[in-house]
Order: sequence, then C-alpha cells, then structure tokens
Amino acid sequence: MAVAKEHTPDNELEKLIESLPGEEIPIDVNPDGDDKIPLDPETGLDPEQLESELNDLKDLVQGEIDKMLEKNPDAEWTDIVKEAKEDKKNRKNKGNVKLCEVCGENEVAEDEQYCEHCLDVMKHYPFSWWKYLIPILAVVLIFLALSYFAINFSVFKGTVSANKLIKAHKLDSALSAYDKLNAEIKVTDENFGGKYLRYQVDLYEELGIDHYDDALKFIEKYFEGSKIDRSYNKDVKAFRDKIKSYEKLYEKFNTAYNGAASYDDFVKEFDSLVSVADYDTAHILYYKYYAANVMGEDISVMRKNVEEIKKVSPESKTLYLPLLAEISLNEGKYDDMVKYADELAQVNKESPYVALYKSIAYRFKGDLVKAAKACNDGLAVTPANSLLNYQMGIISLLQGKQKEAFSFASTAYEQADTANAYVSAASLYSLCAQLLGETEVNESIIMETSQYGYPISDQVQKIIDGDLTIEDVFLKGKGDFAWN
Amino acid sequence: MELINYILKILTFPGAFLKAFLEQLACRMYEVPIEFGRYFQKNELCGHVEHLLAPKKGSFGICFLPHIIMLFCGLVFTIPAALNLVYLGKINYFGIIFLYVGISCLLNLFPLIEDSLNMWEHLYGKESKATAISKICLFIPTVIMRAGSYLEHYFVTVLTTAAFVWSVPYLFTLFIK
Repeated sequence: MAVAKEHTPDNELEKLIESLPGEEIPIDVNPDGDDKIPLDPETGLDPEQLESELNDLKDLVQGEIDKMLEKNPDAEWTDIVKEAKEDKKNRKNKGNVKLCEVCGENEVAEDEQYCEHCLDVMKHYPFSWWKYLIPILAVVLIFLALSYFAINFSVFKGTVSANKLIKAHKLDSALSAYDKLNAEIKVTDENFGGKYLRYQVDLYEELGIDHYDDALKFIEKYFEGSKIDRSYNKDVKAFRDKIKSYEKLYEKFNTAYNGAASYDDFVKEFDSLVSVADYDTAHILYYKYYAANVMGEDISVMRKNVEEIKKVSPESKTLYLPLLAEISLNEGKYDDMVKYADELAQVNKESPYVALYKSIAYRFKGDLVKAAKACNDGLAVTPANSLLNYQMGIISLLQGKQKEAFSFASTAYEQADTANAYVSAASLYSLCAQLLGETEVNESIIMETSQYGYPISDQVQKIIDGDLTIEDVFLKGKGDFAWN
Repeated sequence: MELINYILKILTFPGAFLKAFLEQLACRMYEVPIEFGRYFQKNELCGHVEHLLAPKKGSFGICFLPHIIMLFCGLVFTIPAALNLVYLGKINYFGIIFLYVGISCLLNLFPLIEDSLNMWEHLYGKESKATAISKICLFIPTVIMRAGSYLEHYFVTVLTTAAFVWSVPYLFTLFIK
C-alpha cells in the first residue's frame, strides 16, 4: 500500500483496484504506523494471511503497471489505466475470434480454416528428401521393363505364330517354327517357359506315332531329371511313358511275329506277351493290323483291327485314318480314300498322307489334274518326301513328261526311308532312266538294289519291251502296288 | 473398409507411393493447398495426399495427371511380365518384380471419390463455367475416372486388374499373324 501511495493518488488507486478482477479487498484503514490488522471477530480472518495476500496483490498490480510503463514510458497514468481497461475488455471478448488452424495467430473468416500466409505455404508443400527417389526408381524400372519387353517379344511372337499354325492345322510348319525358336532361346537365355514347352509336347501328341522318336528326344532334353516328376508335368510324363511302351511293344511284336506260322498263332502269342494294363490298346491293335497286312490276311481282318482302334481311341486320328485310307485303296473305294484324307487334313493339313492318298485316289479315278494338284500341295510342304515324289513321278509319266518324271523318281529313290518305298522308287527310277536312254544311271540303280537284295520289278522290262503300257501298270488293277 | 484399404495400400506400396507422389506434384503444379503430406495414413486417405478441393483450374488436372502416368506405368510393367509369365510360363526375377509393380500401379489408378466429384462438378455441375469444347473433349476421361474412383474404393479394381493380367497376352495374339 505504501508503494501504491508513492505513484497514485488515493482515489485513482481505488478506481484501479475496483477495475481489477477478483474479490475486492478492503484497504487498510488503520492509522499510519499501525501495521497489524486486527482479527475481525465476525469473519475470523487471520490478519497475517490477509496481509500476505494483499502483498501478493500489490506485487501483481505493480508488475502489470511496470509492464505498461515499459511499453510506453512517457504515457500518463490515465492512459495506462485506460489501456488496462481495454485489455480487460478484449480478454473477455477473445473467445469469439476464429484463428488460423495452422499458425493459430492470424484471424480468419468464419467459413475459412487457414490464413493467407499459411495457405501460401501449403500450396508449396515441400517434398521430403526420400520422396525424390520415387520418380527416379520409376524411371529406372520403366527403362528395364521396356528392355525386358524388347528382348523377349520375339519369342512371344514366334510362339503365337506357331500356335496359330497349329490352330490352322499346319502341324509340320508349327513344328519347324518351334525348332527355330528353341535354337534362338538356347542362344539368348536358355530359359524355356513351362507353358512354352507344353505347347510343343501337345503338338507332338497330335502329330502321332510318326513323330514319337522326335517327341521322346524332346521330352528327355527339356524335362530331364526330376523336372518330369513334378505334379504339373504329369501329362508330359504320361506321354513319355506311352512312347516308351510303344517301343517296348515293338519288341514283343517281333518276338511273336518271328515265332508265328500264321496270323492266328501270332495273335495268340502276342496276347500272351502283352497286357492291356501295361500297353496302349490302340498300339496293340495297330501291331495286329500290321501283322495281318504283312501276313496277307483278308482285308476284313485288317479293317476289324482298325475300326477297333477308332473305337478305343477316337482321338488318334493320325493313327487310324491313314490305315482306313490304305484299306479303302485295297478295296478299290477311292471316294472313301478322299474322305479319309480330308478328315486327316482337319487334324494336320500338312500330313504327307493327305496328299498321298488323295493323289492315288484321283489317279485311279482317272483325274490326273486333281492328282497332280494334290501331290503338288503335299510337295510344297515336304518337298523331299519320297512317297510324294514317287507319286508325282508316276503322274508325270502318265502325262508324258518323262524328264520331270525322271527328276521326281530320282528324289524318291534318294529319299526313300522304308524298304517298300525304296523298291518302288528304284523300279520307277529305272523305268524313267531307260525311257530317256540314261543307261549308266539304270546300271547303277540295278547294281545298288542288287547289293541290298531288292530286285527291280519285272514289269519295268515289260514296259520297255512293249508288252505292257504305262497305263496298264499305273492305272489299272492294283496299279503300281502290285509290281513288287 | 478402411482397414482393408490400408492393407491393400501396404501390399501395393510401390503403386501407392508413386500415386501419392504424383498427386502431390499435381497439387503443387495447380497450387492446390496440401493439408497433410503423409502418404500412408490409417484412413481412407491412405495412398493419397490430404489437400483442399481443387478450384476449377486444377480439378481435372490433379485427377487426370496421376491417373494417366499410373496407367502408363501399369501397362509398361504388366504387359511384358504377363506375356512371359502367363503365356509362356517363363518364371524369372524380372518378370515377377515387373508383374508386382505393374499390378500395384493398376490398383492405384484412380483419384479419390471426392476429387472425382469435384472434377465433375467443375465440368458438368450447375454452376460450371467450363466451355462446351472442354465438356465434350473431357467427357470420356472424366467418366472413366469417376467410375474408376468408385471401383477402386470398393476394391473392384482387384478383379479387373487380375482379368487384365490374364487376358493381355491373348489380346496381343489378335495382332500377331
């Protein structure tokens, strides 16, 4: 109170105290010199406690006054009091002002959240240092992905083309395409995809027994070791086992055939050596057909075996259709030959048997133009096929084109891969050589065939001597198939 | 839903990070204030940046720019991987990595529903100030992004992405002789 009296008149101090918040504390009205405040007998206030509180209040007020004087040292006391009142008023109203949610300092309108300054900062929100790695990594990965695409696209494209050839029933072309791709992959990364290999296994299955050797080599090369035992390769394993059982069956066939005096003996012996559980039924029937054929059995026996193959294994079209065409040829049913050849074409247009049987059928029907066309279609796919060259040689001869016939006969002779094909081609080649006066060629043919123990057909000499015509041999009766 | 979204964003973090980065970049380009720049939050904003709704100028851009770049990245990574893995069955590290990154990009393709609606309002709303040419030219991408934002919100893009990965090699075969 002594401090307050130093700075302000009594009435000003009273007014100041009145304006402060809190309880009003009665001013000491005791005379000067008397420091003790008597304990009020009615309220029971402790004078020492009261004095202490008043001192605290005094210090507080002094502190606020000192702050205001620091702010404005030249201000009058009335101005300081006014300012104090204004501050008090503002403290009361401050709860209704909206401040920026980010900085909490600047006022914003009711419908806004952020002040202008903070909005400006937010528009340029910085990237943390590590976020710059994201686009860098993305660009690097894009580059790698494009390289990966470029490197592997040719194999993908080749596989798609090969599969389209399969869908177009051009199985031989598809096989050639895959062979090229296999060589390419072997050079680049040797990573053959599982599905890529399966496409080829499926292709070999469709091609049939004529390609069993190649199929087995393929499976043993690309599914070596434990790879073939994996569960997702069980179909490949089953196919491999089927091929191996077919090869074993050939040994059984030889054993039964060599010891048999007749077809019935052969069948008895063969059935005792093989069981249906261990071998494919279609293969067993095929060997029975083959035995019936070489043992000169009736056509009906052969037909029965082939019809049975068709019944037990309808999907093995590449196996039974050529056999049915062969039987039809023996029966003189040339339209059926064409029908079976067309059915075979729906599996593999490029099978040499399609062109072969059509060519023979049309030849025996007297339509040499169609026969030539069928043969040429086949030669376009497999130009070195011995049987097709042989047929084309006959057709050329019938058309009077002896030089062309000579050329085709020569190819047929050089490319012959079975005994029958060799003998037939040798006979035709000898005939064409003699017709053209190629004596040296003819002599070398005779010498070679003699060495192998296969004589030239005696009908060749009869044609040369004029006892038979070319048409007699190749268009009538059993045609060239009787001249062995 | 939020938990599934969060888990999916974690699993596809390469795509989520790239998408959020592109969104932040687009916001900066169009001066759209960003409230919170954290890319992974345990709410529906996971994989996005929290920003104010864009004004007219940026409403299409902040949706389209990240979308088109993510689509490009998704295709670039997915196609070579699918051709080798799906069609040829060729398994290697590169193929698996590219397939994973590609799928994660394709699963983070579309904007938030709020952003797509904001874009729609600015273009085709009652108070839209867009020109007729803008409305015509931007109609298809806007519809795609708006529909896509819903598909992505309800995880339908998981199925569409799987179908795309499976079918893309066979689509390519249509163009190869």
